[in-house]
Amino acid sequence: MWIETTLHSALGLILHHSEYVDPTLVDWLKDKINQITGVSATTIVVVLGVATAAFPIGLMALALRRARRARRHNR
Amino acid sequence: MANGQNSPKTNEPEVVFYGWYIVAAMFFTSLIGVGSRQGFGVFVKVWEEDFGTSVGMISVAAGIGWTVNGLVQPVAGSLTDRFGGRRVMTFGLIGMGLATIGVGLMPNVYGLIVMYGFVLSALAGGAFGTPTTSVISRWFQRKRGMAISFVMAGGSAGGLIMVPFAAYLLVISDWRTAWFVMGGIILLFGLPLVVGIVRDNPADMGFEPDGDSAGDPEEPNAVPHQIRVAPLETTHWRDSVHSAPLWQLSVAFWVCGITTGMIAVHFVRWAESQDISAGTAALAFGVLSVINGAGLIVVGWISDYMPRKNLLGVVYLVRAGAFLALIFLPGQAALWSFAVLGGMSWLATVPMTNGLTADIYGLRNIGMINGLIMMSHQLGGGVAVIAAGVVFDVWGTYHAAFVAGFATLVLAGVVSFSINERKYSIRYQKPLPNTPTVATAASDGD
Repeated sequence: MWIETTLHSALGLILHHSEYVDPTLVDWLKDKINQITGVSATTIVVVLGVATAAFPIGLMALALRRARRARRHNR
Repeated sequence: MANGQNSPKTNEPEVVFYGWYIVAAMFFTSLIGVGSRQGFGVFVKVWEEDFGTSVGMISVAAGIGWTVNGLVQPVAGSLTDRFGGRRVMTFGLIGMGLATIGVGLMPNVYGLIVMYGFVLSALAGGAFGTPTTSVISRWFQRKRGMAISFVMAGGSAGGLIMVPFAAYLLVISDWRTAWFVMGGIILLFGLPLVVGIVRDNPADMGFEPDGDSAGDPEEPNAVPHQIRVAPLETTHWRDSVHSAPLWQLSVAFWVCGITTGMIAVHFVRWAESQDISAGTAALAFGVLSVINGAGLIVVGWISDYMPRKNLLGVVYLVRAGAFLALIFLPGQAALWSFAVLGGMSWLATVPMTNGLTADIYGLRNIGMINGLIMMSHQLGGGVAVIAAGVVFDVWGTYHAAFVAGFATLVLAGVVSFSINERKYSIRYQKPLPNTPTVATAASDGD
């Protein structure tokens, strides 16, 4: 029985290193986001997706600009 | 974060030290790597229906994944020492991205156990964690604590961004598409950052750690430039096993794993046993996560200006206070006290433990040693998850488990305070007079 308890609740992990998020927290978070924003799931996916993509694209742009400046200075 | 060093290639003053670009790249790989693994919980209900299986069987994949990820850390560390963090992370991210897509192709729960529990979790060990902190430790010496904190904060941000992203993706599509998209994000955005930006050593680009000018005496907490070898740096990592700090750090981090693992898995069940609703417990988790992210950065920054072992000891004792609240306070008061005290100490142990490891053992075998310490954490967590389950089944309460958690945290605090940082950390070494370029720190074996 204890192993069942343990395995059953193994999904209740919260954010430490790379454990798994609690499904209850996810449901609660979804409800709150829906309550506050009132926007559709598609809109939220697009917003979060753009936010996720913007960071690496911006960082790569900065790194490339730095490298280009270095090359220009070398010439 | 301007620094005084000129770019070695252009001789122009560097506005932002290149190491911070690497920190930003690793922040993002932690965000997508940790975030996509944490997103596992989102798919449980749909897998239950789609695979026609029980939560218990799906949990086997999760449990195996945790253990495999812990066991693979020393391997990832050893590979990092041998081939460099950039190569290991590149391979890890390619593998992790493909395995994430592979999860979306699994026909049944057994496929999920193999693909997620073994393949994805093993490859994730190479994508972030030990290789990440090892590379950052090479780029930063004075600001090591803060730099590692920023990278770790990426994991916290991943939980806040990737998990809702996965949850809403599931609403508008199906679970297979969601895993394809997450795998695509790892390959399309994470991989180019590592390949394009991450470099193993500052010397590869002609920089000094922290972007310092050579031998800058102006920096308040600068390590004397002549000292290149940490006091317990050895040729082979096996020699480190005979030194006390490795055991002190491992024991303390083992306790970190015990207490976070126990709470992570059993907190909701405890809350329910105290007549607290699951929603309220989830809200407390949210508060804990936010305090965790803020506390992590603050503690990492402070740790660069004071003895790290004292701060580490305080963090463990603060967490012990959180367990004391669970033992003595009634339901709601215990919940919120734990959320605040636990949040302050949740991830803060990581930058100080990794920072101390690099300060004491140097960079030659940093990957392997970090991996060993990380393994003790994960194994402690695994044991505690099972033990706390047994305690609840036998006594119908978590009281004994929380008392054990409190006792081990006090032990971890005492052990952390007992680390002789002044003797063994490179931060406190003084160069011998008239030896401007020779390492002065002895490589003794304690």
